[in-house]
Amino acid sequence: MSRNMTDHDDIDIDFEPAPPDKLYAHNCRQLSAMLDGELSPDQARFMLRRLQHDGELAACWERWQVCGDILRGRGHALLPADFSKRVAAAIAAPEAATVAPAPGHAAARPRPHRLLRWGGGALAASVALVALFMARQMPDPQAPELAEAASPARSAPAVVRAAPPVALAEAGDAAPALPVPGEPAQGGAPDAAALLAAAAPVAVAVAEVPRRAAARNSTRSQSQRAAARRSQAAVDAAPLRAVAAAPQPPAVVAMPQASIPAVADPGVSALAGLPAATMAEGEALFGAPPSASPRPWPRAVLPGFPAGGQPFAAGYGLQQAEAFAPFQPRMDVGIAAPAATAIDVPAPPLAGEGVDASAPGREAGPGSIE
Amino acid sequence: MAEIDSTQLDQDLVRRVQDGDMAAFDLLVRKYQHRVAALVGRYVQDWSECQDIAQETFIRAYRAIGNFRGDAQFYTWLHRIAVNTAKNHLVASNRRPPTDDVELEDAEHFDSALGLRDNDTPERELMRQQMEQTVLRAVQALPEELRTAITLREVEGLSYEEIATRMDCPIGTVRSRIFRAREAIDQELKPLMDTGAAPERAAR
Repeated sequence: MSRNMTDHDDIDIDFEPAPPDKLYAHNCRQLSAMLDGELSPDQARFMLRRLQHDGELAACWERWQVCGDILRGRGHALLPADFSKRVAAAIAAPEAATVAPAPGHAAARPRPHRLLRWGGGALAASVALVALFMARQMPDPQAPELAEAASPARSAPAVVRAAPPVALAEAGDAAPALPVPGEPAQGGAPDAAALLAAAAPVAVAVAEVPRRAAARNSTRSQSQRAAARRSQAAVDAAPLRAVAAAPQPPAVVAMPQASIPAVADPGVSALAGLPAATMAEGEALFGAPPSASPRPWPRAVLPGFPAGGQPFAAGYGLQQAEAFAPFQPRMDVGIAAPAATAIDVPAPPLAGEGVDASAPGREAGPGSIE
Repeated sequence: MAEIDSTQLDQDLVRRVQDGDMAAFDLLVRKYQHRVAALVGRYVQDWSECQDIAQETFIRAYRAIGNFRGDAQFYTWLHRIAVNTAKNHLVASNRRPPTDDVELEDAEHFDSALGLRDNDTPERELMRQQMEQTVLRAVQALPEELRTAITLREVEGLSYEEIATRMDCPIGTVRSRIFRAREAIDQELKPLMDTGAAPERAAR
């Protein structure tokens, strides 16, 4: 200001050397008073305006604050001298230096944030609980039960219970065929017999699963229990059928004709006990996931169920749905193979032979339907 | 009592910032930056990160200052923002923030702020001790009336009027004594703070 004046006015020349120190001292005195809240509002406003341009005065203000903090014994960590400039620059350049995505209401935000997070957790937990109850209401017919049946370790007790009376004792001629691993297939008959004899306990083991499941889910509705009972009858008939069919392997070829009435009423045909017809039934039983029979829900809604299994056949999961399924047979390979190895521990190759032997018979089935 | 004066000044400054006066916010930053840095230093050990978080704290404070109604003291509010910013930073960098927050009272008192000292590098610790010793030595070297005036003001937190009553002198004299005391201390402190700032700038 004084420089401007000296350019135009000679009178002020005398003023020039003196003012800076005096003015600075005056400002410092005012600043000191302002720091203590002892400056009048008008003077404070003037001082603030002054501070806007006077970096030295602002630095003085900063040092005095540090001095006061040290005297009061407060913690302080000395920041670089240009820190406030950096802050001002960061504020001037919007969003450039922001670390967090949503600055601003940092003090007010955490609470709803935490609520939201816990609320989300509670929501997830309740959804999981509902899912758990729903899963108990309609358990996946294949995944847990068949895995249970297929795993040798877990199906072993069931096989031990079921195998001696049914497969080994009654299917007497098939029994010697079992422990011959190196022996090649001697035509269709012994192989098929061996397969059936091996598969019969498997059927028992597999059929044991729904029975156990049915016993477990004792709080079912009337219709569900009826379905379970019917499947129970089919299950009880299964080993008998298998044994009856054992000496008569060509019956497998006769399956298509017999399976048509079986489709009409599987329960009746199962109770009828006709060897050929029930053979088809039994085959269907091996091939189909049998544990699905007592399940009340349409298969289309059940997870993990094969898409080929007639998604819209809401037939209470009875076996006839599978009798029509042309691409079903791969299933019984998966089921029978490990179970057969579980039965016949000393003769593992039998499972592979059994699969091979069963393949043509199964392929003939759907083909002759058409 | 010092807080009352300070609160009044802070609220005045906040009001100015709310009216769009950036210079007032700059004064608030200059006033509290070292305390905020000390507080953040109790959460984050790295000095460079510490500065970034302190900067972020002030940026957040500036953006939110429209919501500050003056119900609490400005520094209490700023303290909260600094703690949250430091914890968010730790979470964002997959570090676990401490379960207990650094409370305002703990942060204020140097003796209880042991964590602050532990986190420091030897150089910074030396620098801090040097500053403390310099200030205390400068205060001891002051004439009796200046020393009493500045102590009553800064440590006891008395107003000018109370100091004038206690020292039995006019308020103008108190004002002058306090200013002279500050100036004398500043003469000793200024070289330290200037040299203290230089390496930090070079390091960054």
